[in-house]
Amino acid sequence: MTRRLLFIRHGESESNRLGLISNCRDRYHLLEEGKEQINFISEHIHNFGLKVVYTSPYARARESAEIISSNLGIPIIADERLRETDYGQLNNTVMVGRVIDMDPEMARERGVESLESHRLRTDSFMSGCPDRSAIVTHGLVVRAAVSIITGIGQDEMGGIHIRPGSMTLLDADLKKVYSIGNFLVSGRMQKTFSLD
Amino acid sequence: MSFLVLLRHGESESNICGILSSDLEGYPLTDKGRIQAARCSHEMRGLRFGGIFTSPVQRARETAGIIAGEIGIAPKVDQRLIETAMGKLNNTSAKDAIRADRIRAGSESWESQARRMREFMAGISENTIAVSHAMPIRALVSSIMEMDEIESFGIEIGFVSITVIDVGSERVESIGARSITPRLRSILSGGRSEGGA
Repeated sequence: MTRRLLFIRHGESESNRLGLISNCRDRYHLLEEGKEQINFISEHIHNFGLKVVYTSPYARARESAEIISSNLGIPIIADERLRETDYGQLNNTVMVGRVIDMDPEMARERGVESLESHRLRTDSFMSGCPDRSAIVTHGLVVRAAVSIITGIGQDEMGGIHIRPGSMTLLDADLKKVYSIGNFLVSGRMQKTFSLD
Repeated sequence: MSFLVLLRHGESESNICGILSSDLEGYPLTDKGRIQAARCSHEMRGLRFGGIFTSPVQRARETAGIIAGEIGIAPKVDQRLIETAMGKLNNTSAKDAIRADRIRAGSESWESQARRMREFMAGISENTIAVSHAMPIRALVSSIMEMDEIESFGIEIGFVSITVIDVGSERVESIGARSITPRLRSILSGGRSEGGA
């Protein structure tokens, strides 16, 4: 069987611009640049035959999903399991560098959500996610998905960068990675979706 | 089971100046780069390797020298680990040069880099360290995972980060990891390779 899941990190948003990590769900919206990123992607995935777009309930993700939904004419379904990392005591602070690069002990002490927690909720979501789904979510959830498919630990893939507005294409049944953190659609990605 | 442990060189003068260079000499490691290499060699403590190879480029050779201090084996130069040949972009600050620019400037193709790195890997028959550069390492990892340059855009190999490949089964065990995790330590010490969390 095949289960093609197109993960998309939300577009550039106000919190990204401010260098802020935040669990505020409704405060930080997509910037114009973020909307353009998602519009650009929509144009290039419109013949993937995607049937639904799942989204994190956060504004920056919902707004990205709304652009995809309206451009592709597909329904949106919000899912709690796709939510942002729980930043614990670091909520609403400025972060230099990536959360994944933080010292794990320090992250734990500050109450940042563990990698295991990301894995559990991402795995739970993925196991019920149907073929030809777009999924708008946050960086660490995309990384957890790549980890589940490849067997590479979330703490063993520092060389993977999931930028705002980027795509990561996986097949959850075939256990394949077709693309990681990319912005342009390749011929092969296109072809993957024309097979049934 | 043999594992290839690919390390990108440490931060060097070319990196802090934002210069692309495939010159053999002229861009040594910075102090920070030396510290990065020392930290990585500490991560390797207790692991045994059959050999350590390095790109002929100065920043790679210097990194390999620091790692070799911990491993206790003298590094050997291998041309196949060399930096991307930059062509007309050599010694320019063209860090964001896109593929089309690189092709026009006669820079080494993605396919060529993947091919020579695969050739190097094909000769590995015991746990081996290889010090190389960001783009060639990325080209090898992507080739093994069957992704091209566009599809692997999200892979960026950091300074002295650790990319482990199971040579026999062509399985990527880590991509630019910052440390030797318990799972990596176990597989590099001869334990079975089970999936990470």
